Amino acid sequence: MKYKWLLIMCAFGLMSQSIQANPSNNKGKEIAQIVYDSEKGYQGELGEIEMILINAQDEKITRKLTNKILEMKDDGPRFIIEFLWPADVKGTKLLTWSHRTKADSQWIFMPAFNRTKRISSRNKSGAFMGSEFSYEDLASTEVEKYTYRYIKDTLLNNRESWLIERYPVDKNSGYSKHVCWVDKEYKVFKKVEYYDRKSERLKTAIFKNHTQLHGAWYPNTIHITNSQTRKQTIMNWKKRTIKMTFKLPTFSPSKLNEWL
Amino acid sequence: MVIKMKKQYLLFLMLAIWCLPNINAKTTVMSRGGNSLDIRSFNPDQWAETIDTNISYITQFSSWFKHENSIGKVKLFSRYDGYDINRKYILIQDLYIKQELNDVEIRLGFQEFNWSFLDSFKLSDTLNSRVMDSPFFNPEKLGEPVITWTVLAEQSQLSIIVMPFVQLSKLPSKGSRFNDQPKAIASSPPLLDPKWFDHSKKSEEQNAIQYAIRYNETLQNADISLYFIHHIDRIHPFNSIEENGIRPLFFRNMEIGTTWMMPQDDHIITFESVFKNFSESNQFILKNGNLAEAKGLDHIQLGLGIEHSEINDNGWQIKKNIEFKHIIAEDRLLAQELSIFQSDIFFNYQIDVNNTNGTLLQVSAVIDLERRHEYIIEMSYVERLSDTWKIMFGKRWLHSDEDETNPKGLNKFGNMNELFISTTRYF
Repeated sequence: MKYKWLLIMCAFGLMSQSIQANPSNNKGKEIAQIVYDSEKGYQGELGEIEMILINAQDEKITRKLTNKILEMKDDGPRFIIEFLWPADVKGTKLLTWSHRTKADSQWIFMPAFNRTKRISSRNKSGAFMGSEFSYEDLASTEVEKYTYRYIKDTLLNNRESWLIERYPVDKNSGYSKHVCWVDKEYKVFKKVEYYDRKSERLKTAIFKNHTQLHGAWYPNTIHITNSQTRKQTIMNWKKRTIKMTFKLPTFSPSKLNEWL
Repeated sequence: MVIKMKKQYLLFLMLAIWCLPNINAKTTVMSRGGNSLDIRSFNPDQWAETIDTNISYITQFSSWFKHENSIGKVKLFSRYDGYDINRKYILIQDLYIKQELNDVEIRLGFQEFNWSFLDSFKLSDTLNSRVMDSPFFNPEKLGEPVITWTVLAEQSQLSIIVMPFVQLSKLPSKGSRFNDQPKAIASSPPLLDPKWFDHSKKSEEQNAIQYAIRYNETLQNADISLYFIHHIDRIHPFNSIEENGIRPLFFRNMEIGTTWMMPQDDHIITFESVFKNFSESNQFILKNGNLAEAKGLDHIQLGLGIEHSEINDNGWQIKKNIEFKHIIAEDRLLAQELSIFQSDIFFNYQIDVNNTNGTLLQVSAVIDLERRHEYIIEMSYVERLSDTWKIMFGKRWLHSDEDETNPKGLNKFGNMNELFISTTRYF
């Protein structure tokens, strides 16, 4: 009889936990959807970016790149990142086809070999051209690529924010989870902590200097600090234009060897 | 021949002049390039005529011009070797004008094609002529004069390529260590200018029309292509022993090929196949007046590659790659004469330190599966010295048995160990 009550109490406990967990999960996903929807409708984006790599000894290297993003109707965006400087990697391009549910497709074009190569899923957790950004970080963050958990409402730099956690669905992801601070007014990520597969904090990204374009807010600076190596990468947008018109074939792997 | 070659270049010079008035403030220009000092040193061999050390100065330059829907590209490669007169050249690798009309592109000029997905045995890179005295797996190519019509779709494209002129490969000098002629013969008769034969036509006529059709598509998660080529093959010379020396001859063939590449978890799987048919025998008159007849070897080439990469705890990217090539032909001896890699396996182990210096360490090996005593082992190291300087050095060991009279496979080179170093300043 004593055990029967214990079982009933455990069952109630589990039920109450699931009642609490479901709204949290839904709310986490709803917040991610709000962020995603706020960026929709940009059609095409063209950016000029300066990337500063800082090593543990505070030595700096500057790289210049451009990004072109094409919004797709029924799938994730397609985008090209191209290096303009330093001279030895000038013309190197990364093409990504983001997908909502399946793994993204990525290709890299290396001008030294005049050849385009696929990037395997496992490579996506690797550093992109020596920076603290992985190939995975440079792909888009479709809502369906993660499961979510709402943590709490909080303040970040005296601004009202939501704190959520998201967990990559892709088993090849280099991360176990992201802890994200979302600005309630701007509907953008302000800070993301990345945890590696051992659940140790790997790096932190701070998104700042937001500007508004056609109603949506975009960060002009992303500052990533690796907690384990103390290396940093700062990405500064020098110029960003949205509502650009790009031809779809421009974002095909066979066109990567063309520069303009 | 010289006059006709000039006409060929003159045509494209006229096109460039025609484009010049369109270049104005609205034209976007992007350029890149580099100057390199390239040194290679071989172990001395028994032949006094061979050149065991080469020091050359290389300049590479490429530039894009875009004006509305017109795009132009120039890509030049020049090498000045102080030790080998045959290694002084300027190659036009790309020089074309492209007009975009909605989903159609028309391209006119010289173009370099890289269709193969494999790192080593690039079965599908057969359109361009090449400098035969250049690395086995990354040859310097000559731009092919072409008129190309391409239809673009969302994930696919169809190209029809017409090649109105035949541009022959640049063969190594008699003294080059990459000269694959029998050494005992090469030490006496000279190597004559190469020629092509198209059944009854010969190279002096310079008008053998060649063409190719290629369809490529990204289908689900795979990149696939199918192609058909009807051209003068410039990869596999037939050596005709004439009164004055050895003359390499090239014949027309038909190729049907396919390439396929797909990522699968942490692997990238690549498959390539090509069927080459030299349909008819070619008749030609030798200098001594005798009638000779020759036919290329019909064959199928198969290539398979599996690449695995992973990121270790230090953040280094470790890439392991295995590629296999096999030529299917009735006569194995002829297959061994056709290519130095007729049934070979390639291993590559690469460590990319993923640092800002771009440090890259690579070890590779090629083993002949039919001729087990033949192998190539190579080690190389690459490092960025600054934003504009890069250094690359390494050593290659090529091992085979000496066969002075009838060499096949890597026998053509004997035991050839090579040290190489290259420093480049990019601009």
